[in-house]
Amino acid sequence: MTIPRTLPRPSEIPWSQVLATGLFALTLAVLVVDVVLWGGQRFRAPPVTFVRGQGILIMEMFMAVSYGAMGWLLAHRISRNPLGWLFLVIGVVTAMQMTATFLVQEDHQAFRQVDYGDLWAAWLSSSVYLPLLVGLFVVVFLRFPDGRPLSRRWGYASWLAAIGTVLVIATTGLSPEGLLWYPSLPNPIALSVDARPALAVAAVIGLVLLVSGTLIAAASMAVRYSRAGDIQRAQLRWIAVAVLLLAGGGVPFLVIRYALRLDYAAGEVMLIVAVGAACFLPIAAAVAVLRHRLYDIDVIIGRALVYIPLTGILGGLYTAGVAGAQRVFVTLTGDRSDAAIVITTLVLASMFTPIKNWLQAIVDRRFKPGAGHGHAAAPHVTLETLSARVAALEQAATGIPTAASSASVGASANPEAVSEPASPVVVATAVGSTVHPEPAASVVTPPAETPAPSNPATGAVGSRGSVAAATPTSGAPGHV
Amino acid sequence: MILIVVLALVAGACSPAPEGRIGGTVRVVGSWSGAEEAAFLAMVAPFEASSGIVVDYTGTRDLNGLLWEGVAKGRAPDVAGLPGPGQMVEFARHGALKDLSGVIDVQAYKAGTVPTFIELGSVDGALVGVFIKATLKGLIWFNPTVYSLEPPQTWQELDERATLAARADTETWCVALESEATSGWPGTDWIEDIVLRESGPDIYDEWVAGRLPWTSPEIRAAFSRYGTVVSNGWGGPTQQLATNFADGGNPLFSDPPGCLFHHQATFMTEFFRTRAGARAHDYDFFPFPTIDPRFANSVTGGGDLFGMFNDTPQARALMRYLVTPEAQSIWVQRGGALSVNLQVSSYPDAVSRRAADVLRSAERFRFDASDLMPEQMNEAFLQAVLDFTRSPTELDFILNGLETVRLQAYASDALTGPAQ
Repeated sequence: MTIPRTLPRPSEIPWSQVLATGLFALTLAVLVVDVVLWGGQRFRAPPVTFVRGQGILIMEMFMAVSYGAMGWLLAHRISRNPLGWLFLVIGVVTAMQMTATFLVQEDHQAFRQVDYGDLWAAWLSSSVYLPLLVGLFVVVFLRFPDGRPLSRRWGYASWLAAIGTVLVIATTGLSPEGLLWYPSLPNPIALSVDARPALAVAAVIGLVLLVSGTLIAAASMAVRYSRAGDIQRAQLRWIAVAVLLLAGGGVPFLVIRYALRLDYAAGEVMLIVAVGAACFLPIAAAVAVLRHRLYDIDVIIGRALVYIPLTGILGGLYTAGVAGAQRVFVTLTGDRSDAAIVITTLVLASMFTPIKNWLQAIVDRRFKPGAGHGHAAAPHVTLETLSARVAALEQAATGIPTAASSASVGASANPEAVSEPASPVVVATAVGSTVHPEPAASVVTPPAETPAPSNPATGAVGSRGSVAAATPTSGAPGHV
Repeated sequence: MILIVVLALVAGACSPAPEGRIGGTVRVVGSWSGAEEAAFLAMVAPFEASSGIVVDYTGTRDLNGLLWEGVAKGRAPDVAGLPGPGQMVEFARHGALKDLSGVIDVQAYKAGTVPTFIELGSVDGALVGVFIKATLKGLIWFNPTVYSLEPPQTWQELDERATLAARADTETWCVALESEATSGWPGTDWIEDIVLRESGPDIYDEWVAGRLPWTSPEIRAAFSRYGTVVSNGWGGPTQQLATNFADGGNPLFSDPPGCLFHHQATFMTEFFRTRAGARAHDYDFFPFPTIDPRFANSVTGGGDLFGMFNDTPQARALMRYLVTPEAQSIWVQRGGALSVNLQVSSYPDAVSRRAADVLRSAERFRFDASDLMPEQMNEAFLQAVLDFTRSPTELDFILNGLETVRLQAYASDALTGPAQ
């Protein structure tokens, strides 16, 4: 039986998807500009505080891509959840602040004052980027994974962080000592030196609010984790670790950046730690999605993990193949030939499926629960395994119906009708003559009629400990 | 609460109170002597009059040695002209230089100054050095009555036109390398200009950063090209080594002229006037010719840095004064100097104005490479130029020696003092 998909209203689909795709494409386009600019500067470390090498910029580029990609995925699939949009915004602004950095470095090449437009871009990057990023992280911490805070009271942390963000932006943005992150540039809207004490007080207040909001938000994630059921915990585990890492790495850096003067080398290390922790959040989200079926969008990521490298491999092989074949033709005939392109294309066409299957097997092995040790978890294989184990149960314990067999038969007859990833299941295994429920390698969500806690993000059902119904079902829309 | 903060900010945003008379003395050490010393003293004269502070200036060519000795013995001057950004880093990391962010109006300094010079004056995020004037290097000076052809655009054109313009007993180049403790720097300027125009700014940066071996083809080629200059230079190696840089342009104006061209920076006009008796219309310049068209419109330059070793009210007042456009205009108006402050435009003659235009219109500006190198490397570079001028056939040996020094000098990046 096929469960019909619950589709959003048609008027919403194009708008959110187009916007999400547009933002992600913008992130990638800006990153391309960044790489071109930086390459033109021979990848020199730019004149930015606490940046003396290339590593931190490479990490920021990874951060922009990973947030953009995860944001696109989430906004694309669950557009009403704000997390995807927050991730997208983080990706875009991270890419853009690097553009400002490289433009500033470009301006340093000549004996001239910085271009006015570049100065304002640097102002935005120096004054707005980091406080805004922290404010966005606070919202992410509070609302992950279902898009809502634990309670209204927890939601007040957002207001603390928002006020703190505004104050920190205002105080750094009006600083009479130039731009915080670009020490060689003046501040286009600097206040007089006499305003320094007032700015310092406001900065401390803003910082306290921002840090408080961050810590409360991190605590809310810990509370959310402690209250969660087993499946939710599995989904939240990596996220919670990422949140704690980010709070632990980010808060000390915030304090030394805005309130204390610290040894430059130590500041450099703390910046690396903070950015590294920030990079971990989208990775943790991806792991939660792939390994623990958070949001039930693992199929899409799985496909992306197959098709993106597939494109790269085929592109590389095509380029190398054409070049190699042309060389052979030049050696044999003394001239180039279009046949080289035709032959290479035909060879690659024949290689498409084997390479795709090979990549699919790798992805399945790495991310598909229960598909380890070199076995791809094709649906019919999973069901056959399930049938065998249920049959074993029949021998060990009596009275369990063999509905799994019929499911297996059904799957064999129509494999496409079965959900691609193995679904969560709990299988009763026989130990001696006693039946013990335990999680099987291949986890299947309980049948629709079995009451179970809902998936916090999507409402999908699933519970550890319920004895499996033989008919495999899935919380994912469209699964059989 | 936000409203209160905003009101406090607005209330605080009034102009600073004017500085009154302080009195006392500020001890200053610099490398200037003669006309440059006179220019500096003229620059600080209004400051002395308004503040009541006496500027006690001492000039020395062994600036680096004097400063390190002063730092070691606890008798450093209050304020000093620093030998260069490379040495400044060493003094700053040694803890000898004071952070200027609470001393001068940083925002005003940044608003008026070329960003690359602010970056050069900063160490680990702290502003410890301010530039009070700039120099455009790599200019080719000539006497228009001796060389009257069109200025060459490329090195090849320069060679061709030098042949056309040559008279009997007139060599192509004037070269003068003597400068007491820093003898050889006019030669290092030559090498730097060639590296930038021949191999480009990227190679130049790698070289300065200690990531390019001195035995690389680019550096070898630069020395070789400089060797052709020396071999076509007036007086031969012995005289080139013995002639003080200030007198290096004198043969341009002698009768018969000793040379057609002299490679020097903008400040050379002062010496043309005071040492050779030349008048304003007796000299002119063209920018260093292009060697590789890919790197056209690149220039080298330098600047005079000031740092504060002792935090006294007098030293603070002087530092605040030196970075003002008013102070920098005084030196600029005397000729031979350019200002790092872009608000200053009071250049006294057409030559200075044109030099300022060349500097500001260049697509790529690079600071004097030797001044950016660690002191140990800088000293070895100076000596290498002198050795090569004396014995051009020893180039391999000289470059290998420089490479040995590079491996030592850049390995100990956190330098704490001069080479012993």
